[in-house]
Amino acid sequence: MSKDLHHIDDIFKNGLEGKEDIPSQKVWENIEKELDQKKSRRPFLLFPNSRKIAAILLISLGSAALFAGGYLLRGVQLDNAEKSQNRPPIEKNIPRSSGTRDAGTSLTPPGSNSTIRSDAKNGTKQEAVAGESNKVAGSINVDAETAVETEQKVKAEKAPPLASSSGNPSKNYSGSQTPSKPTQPEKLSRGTGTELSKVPAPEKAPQNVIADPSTTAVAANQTKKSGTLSNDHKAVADHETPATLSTNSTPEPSPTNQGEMKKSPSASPNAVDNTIPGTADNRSVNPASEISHQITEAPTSPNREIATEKQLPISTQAFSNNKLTVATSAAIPVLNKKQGSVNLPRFSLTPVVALQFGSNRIKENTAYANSGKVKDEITRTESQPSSIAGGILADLKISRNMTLQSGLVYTSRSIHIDPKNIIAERNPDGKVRYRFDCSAGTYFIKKAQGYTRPGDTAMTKFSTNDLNYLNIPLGLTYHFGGSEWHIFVMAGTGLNLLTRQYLETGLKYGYYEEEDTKVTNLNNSYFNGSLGAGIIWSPFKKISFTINPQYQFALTPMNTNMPVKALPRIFNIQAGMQIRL
Amino acid sequence: MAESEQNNLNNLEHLIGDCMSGIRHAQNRVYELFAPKMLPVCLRYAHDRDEAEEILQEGFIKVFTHISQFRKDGSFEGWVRRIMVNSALQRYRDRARMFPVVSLQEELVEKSTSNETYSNIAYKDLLELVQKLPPAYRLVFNLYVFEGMKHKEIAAALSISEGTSKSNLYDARLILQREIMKLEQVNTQKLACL
Repeated sequence: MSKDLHHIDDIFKNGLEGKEDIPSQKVWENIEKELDQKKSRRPFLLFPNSRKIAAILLISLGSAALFAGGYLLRGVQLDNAEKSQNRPPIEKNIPRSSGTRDAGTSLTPPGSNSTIRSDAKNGTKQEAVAGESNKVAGSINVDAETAVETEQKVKAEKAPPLASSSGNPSKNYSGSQTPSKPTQPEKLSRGTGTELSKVPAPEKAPQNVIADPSTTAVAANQTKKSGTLSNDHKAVADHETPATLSTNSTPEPSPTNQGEMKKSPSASPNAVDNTIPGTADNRSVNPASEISHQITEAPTSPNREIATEKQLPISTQAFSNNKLTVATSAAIPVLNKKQGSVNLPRFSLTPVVALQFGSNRIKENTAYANSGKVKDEITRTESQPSSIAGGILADLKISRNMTLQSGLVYTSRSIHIDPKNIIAERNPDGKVRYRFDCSAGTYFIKKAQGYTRPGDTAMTKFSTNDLNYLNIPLGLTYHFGGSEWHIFVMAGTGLNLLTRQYLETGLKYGYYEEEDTKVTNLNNSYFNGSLGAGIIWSPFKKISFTINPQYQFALTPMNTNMPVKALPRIFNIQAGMQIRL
Repeated sequence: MAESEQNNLNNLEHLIGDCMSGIRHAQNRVYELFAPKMLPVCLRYAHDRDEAEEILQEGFIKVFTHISQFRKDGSFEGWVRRIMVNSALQRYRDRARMFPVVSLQEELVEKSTSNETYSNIAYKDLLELVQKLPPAYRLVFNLYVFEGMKHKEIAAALSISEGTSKSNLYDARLILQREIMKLEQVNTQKLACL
């Protein structure tokens, strides 16, 4: 029975196998129509590499947008900075602690020498301790040269113009002297030693009116040190100087500053005019000179407007320039506090070296029946030693704490493959070669001697597969911490371009021929994601050092059309020297 | 001879590469090359020519859509043929509920036959005999005889048991034997008339 039925199989196989038949024309028309519809639904179908190209374009456009955004942001910051510079310097760093303080709580005792500044809003005058006075009050000796120099400096600093007495050199003003520019709230004068009047001076007047906690320390130090200071430095000790500068707008002319200049009962005869903004030299007065500020409105008011913190930076600078280190030391905590945040450069380059520990994540390609077997073999026979990578990274600051990072990193990985059996078969060119499957792809190896037939087996020696890639990372890093030490976290992606691949192996009965070791099924590129964190040490202004552990994982396999998909994953420790540009 | 084969291989590689790029002219060329070979395959799995052409159409669309998955180290013709068979199987699975339950009314009796008896039966007649088989029998017969699959593989492909596969194959052979004997009788009568 079975013999006859099996014979039927042969009859049908011989009668039907190998025949050809022409299909009708409508079949191709329908195929074409269907393909057109699929093409319209899937535009990427036409170009196998179009997804990669699209991804590269997307990354490039994103980078360009971020760079452009960074520049725009930088431009806005520059504009703001420029606007800030056009303002009086004193308006920077404005604290909110302005207010009044009762005279009883003021550090200024009654009868101390004071300078008076105008309040642009209410026209009141505020007194501040000018410094230690000696003998003369209310006498004005104008030194023309000094006045001219001072005026120039004042103009240069865009401060409110001060009264100049240059038109009347060496002119002595008496108590009823009318200023040449009555609209000016204050008048700069430098005494030449001529006494106009004398008033009893306090034996030792406190130096300052201290307005707020930050300046209190300055005043305290200054007061403490006043005994050791030279006379001219003592005379400069006035925190109210910046407050005078704060009268940016011209005050309303008042009888005080329009009319005759009155002597203040409490004014020090040697009161130093501290109305010159910013320039410390103006405060380095000649010890022999007697400078008095003649603008007086009223005796020391019981309520004095305290100096504001916004005056502190200039005051500090003035003290510093006058070598009053006691004052600057008090201000240091404030400055340090401002410098404590991360100070990222706008652009930096970082040559890096990385120690890499790599492995391949092997996934079965279910389209192939032998995927499990191949996966087991590759997993069992392959291992990767550590390797070195190097390159250069560029960071562009895109916000206060965030940078965009890209660059070029060259990686060289070696995969060690234990000896294994390989089988000869025809390669894509139709030649019989030993097929060597590994995670990177398929190599067809020709035995150097002898004839190879399909199905022949051979044992390989210990093999090494070298893969070199050029990695183009693109990531965002977020920095936080101090200015000298800070840490960062980063996340990003990268494109890995294959630059070189090579298999070094040997067969038991003869070495392969190099010309036949071209790999197939290895993609020219793959994408990876990366996560990392690091620390940056900035001991110098332009140079920083960074250590950055990072984990890179493949988003796309590095091979194709194989029973397994190989997804490289690399843990690397990256060290670099950041050059701030 | 070998050189012309190598040229054909190179040309085919170029065609496949162009098909991967979606070049319509290359797709048409591949269709013209392989459609005549694939149509008889589809005809064996189909009930009639129209159904075979539908299978052929579906198969070639899959070929051009997934041509990037073709492993270049294998035979392209074998890959296309496998797609055609899979298309036929998929069609059978989709329409399995529409097929009537096979019930052979006539008692199938084995009769002694010889190889010479069927030597004169034309290709068209043999194809018609296969197409007349019930779908389940036809599939098992085709997979076993033409694709060289084992009963275990057939059972997995059609989601049936191995016993069912063997039974279907046996029944298919008996049917074909009976039909061939009928054809033989007709041919004998024709010869007698002449």
